[in-house]
Amino acid sequence: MINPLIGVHIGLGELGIVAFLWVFVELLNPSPTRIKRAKIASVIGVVSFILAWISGGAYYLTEYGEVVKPLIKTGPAPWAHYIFTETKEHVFLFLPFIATFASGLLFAVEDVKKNKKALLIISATVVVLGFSIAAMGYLISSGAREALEASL
Amino acid sequence: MTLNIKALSRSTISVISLITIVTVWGELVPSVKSGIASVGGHHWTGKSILSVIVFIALYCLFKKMLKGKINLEKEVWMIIGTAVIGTAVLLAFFLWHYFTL
Repeated sequence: MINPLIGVHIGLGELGIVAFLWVFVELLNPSPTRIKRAKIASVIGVVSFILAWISGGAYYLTEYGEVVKPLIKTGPAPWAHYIFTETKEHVFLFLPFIATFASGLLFAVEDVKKNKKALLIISATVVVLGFSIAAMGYLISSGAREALEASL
Repeated sequence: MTLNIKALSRSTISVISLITIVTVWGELVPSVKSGIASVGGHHWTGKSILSVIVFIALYCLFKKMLKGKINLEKEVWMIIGTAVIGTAVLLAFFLWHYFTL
């Protein structure tokens, strides 16, 4: 049976990315109502990334380390682990801190319209970094699928 | 409570740099990796715990040190630059590690 933790990790990570995409869209043309919604979305995003961090860590330390990692390493695409898991597990650690900064910035600035460009750039950064991490997750799961196919 | 954005920015930059340096250093020096692992039972858990502690501690420190005017765009670009360099360093290191070892 597939470990549900990986689904929880992916779901929460994607929720975090979509939340910051929502922040970006709200800030394109900020009004008091849109700024309020952007603040709510940014908090949803930060909380999602923190929960994705915890659930992904629990999966990585149990199922991945014991079952998936040995499978990928002995399969036809060991690079999926050696390059992409190793990079992803560390680059992921950047994300909650950058998201916290983005959310903090949104709450702290007095004039959102005046600082719109900085807020848009940092929100877009969270989205791009999040999708890059998701792409690495795709490569890792492809490595696991290839290893399973080779063992059939 | 008012957030000090300059302190938040500099602690974000510092923690991204720390994660990058400690990761590469830990891969090159096994005693460093095992030292980090002793914090949380696994090197990744150790790095996670350390990064949160360092982030909070540096924010509290920088909050007292860094006051005055701030160029928001400059702070944002500094964070992006650090994240891009950190990602490039980690990817390049693990590529090198895979193809040479």
